[in-house]
Amino acid sequence: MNKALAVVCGLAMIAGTTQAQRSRGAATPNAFARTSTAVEDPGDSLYRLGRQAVTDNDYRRASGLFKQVVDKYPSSQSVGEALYWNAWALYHLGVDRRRKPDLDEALASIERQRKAYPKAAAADDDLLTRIRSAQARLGDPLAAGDIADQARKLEQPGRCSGADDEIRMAALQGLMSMNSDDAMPILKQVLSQRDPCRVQLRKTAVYLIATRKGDDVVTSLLDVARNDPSVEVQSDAIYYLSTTHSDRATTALDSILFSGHDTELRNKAVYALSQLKTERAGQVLRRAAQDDKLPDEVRGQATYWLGESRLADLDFFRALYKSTKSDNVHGQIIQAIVRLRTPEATRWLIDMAKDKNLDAESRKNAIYWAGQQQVVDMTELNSIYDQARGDDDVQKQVLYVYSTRKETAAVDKLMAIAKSDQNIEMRKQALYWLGTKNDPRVKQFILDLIIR
Amino acid sequence: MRYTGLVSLLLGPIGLATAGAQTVGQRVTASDGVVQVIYPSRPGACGDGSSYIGNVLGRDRMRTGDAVMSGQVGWTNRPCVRGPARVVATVLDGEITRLHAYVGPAPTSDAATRTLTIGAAEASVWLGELVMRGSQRTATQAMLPLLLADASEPWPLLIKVARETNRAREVRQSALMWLSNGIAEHLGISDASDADTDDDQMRAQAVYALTQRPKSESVPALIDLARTATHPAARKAAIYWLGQSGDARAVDVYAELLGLR
Repeated sequence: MNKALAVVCGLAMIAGTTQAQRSRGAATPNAFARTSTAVEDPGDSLYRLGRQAVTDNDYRRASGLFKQVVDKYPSSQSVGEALYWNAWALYHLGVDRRRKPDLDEALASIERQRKAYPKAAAADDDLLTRIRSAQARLGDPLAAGDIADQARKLEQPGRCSGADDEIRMAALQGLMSMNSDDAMPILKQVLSQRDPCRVQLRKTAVYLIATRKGDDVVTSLLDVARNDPSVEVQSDAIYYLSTTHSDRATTALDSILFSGHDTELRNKAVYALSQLKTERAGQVLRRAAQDDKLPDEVRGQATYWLGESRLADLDFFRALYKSTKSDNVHGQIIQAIVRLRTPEATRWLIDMAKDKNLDAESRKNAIYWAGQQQVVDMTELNSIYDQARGDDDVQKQVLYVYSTRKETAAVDKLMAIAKSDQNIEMRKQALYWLGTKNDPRVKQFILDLIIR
Repeated sequence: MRYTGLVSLLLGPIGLATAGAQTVGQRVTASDGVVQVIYPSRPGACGDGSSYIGNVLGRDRMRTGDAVMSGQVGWTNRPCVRGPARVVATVLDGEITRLHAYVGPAPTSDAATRTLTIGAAEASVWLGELVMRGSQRTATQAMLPLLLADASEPWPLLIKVARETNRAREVRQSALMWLSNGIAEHLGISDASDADTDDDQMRAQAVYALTQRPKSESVPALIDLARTATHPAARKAAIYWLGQSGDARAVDVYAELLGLR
């Protein structure tokens, strides 16, 4: 397969709709929406039937009807549109059935339309490109040459145009399958065109570079991560650095995390490191979680991903909890410990919930997460409740956890508290949560309290 | 109970001017600006004329007027003075856009404020019309000044509003809220407190907890409690929460408790 053909194959693989095609596709269900057509125009009636056939995906019938419009009613005002839709129907037939004659006929129809009716409403370059792609995929060397030429145009800076960029992106995708020495320079050239209007194009280029292998891949991604003016493109490059699994990527992400200035990019670096799942990446993240010079949000993210990716153990989190004063990091540590799901982690949460030296927020947090994860049994919860006497906020949090538990014992406990706890506030709160429980005993319990 | 005066309001067009005379409504909206309408207040009603009203539907004091916005300190300690009711209406493009109600001595008003002094029956008809036909905001704000008037009881009219399913939910909810207070007064339980004992507090909380139950369970229980609960605070709470349940049966029970069926 020659290069040009490879480009085309890649392009054809996309099979995605371009913007122009999407808007045209959206119009197809309402085939009768055209206006200002003379009532006496029989060609228009056939055209409308053809559009309906397109809507019904009956492309062969549609093509037949459009051809009738063109052949029998050449003076109909619908001829230009009929030529376009004939090409569209034949293109689908050609692609679906891999029939080159249909594609050739589609090309003839669209070219005739472009020459004879350039101002027809249904005129665009996109369908032509797609037909040529499909032809190339079926082995048409001339079509392959056309598409390859379009791909090479990417190397030249051009005006910003959404329609052009759609075709360029399609051509970029074609490059993906080339696997040739030509691909990388073109992609690098695209990445060097840093106009704001080329963000999507550069994002595609970053993705395509990331799918390749080699040292220059990391170099290119690093360059984008550090220097592209778009945070969106930078973020993509940072993410794809993690997919290279190279030691250089870890170094680069370390540098972005500790030397960067943009919190969003630092958070992306944290995520990318967590995806590497290597001991070295873990070291970087642990250092970030401990570093109180980093923004609180970044430290929180580092802590979160350390837990999520199992890159730190209970001892690390416990030590971190003691050494940091950040509420955000504290909260993330508790969640990370919950995710460990080990008996030791559960014990730590319970001890934390009971620790009167800790602030109420931390204790409530521990109770909440323990309750959500169902890692604390009712006996432990009761023990936390009893030992928290005098700490209304903490006790109320335990009452909430009771309300989220499925066990009958949780309703029993709420009833007992509502009936006879020495603290009226706890009684009232327990009663409130009882009201939300789906237990047949609750209604009578409430009524008994009212009428006693 | 004096229901007769409102019969005309419920039966047909009201407040229409006789030839050459203007209704209160027409006089109020005759020109844009602020208009205060002064009329006799119901027996016992008192206030400080600017921030709160007391002794209406129970001993509780209701904040009103500017106190709501400015959070004046110590308003509960001011003397509650008997005096006329005063409604301050803001008129814009010939429409009432805001109403504030006061009782007690009227503060000196500025020169731009027009003042109308009218009879309680006239006030009741005018305010009843606003409740029945005013915008959502005006209808809701007209309910308190309506029940301040020393005139016919507003409950039949509020029952009618509460039954009008085409009215805004806020208007019907507000009518139900005032009705629940009116019923409590009618039953002599307005001043039942849920804060006297722990048991009272628990009863009030239990009624609230009942409202958290599925409606199929809570509404029949609230109806039963509204009719028969022996503890005044619990009954008062049940009457209130029944109205707030949004269930159509509440209005019938309210009418029954007011002796209007």
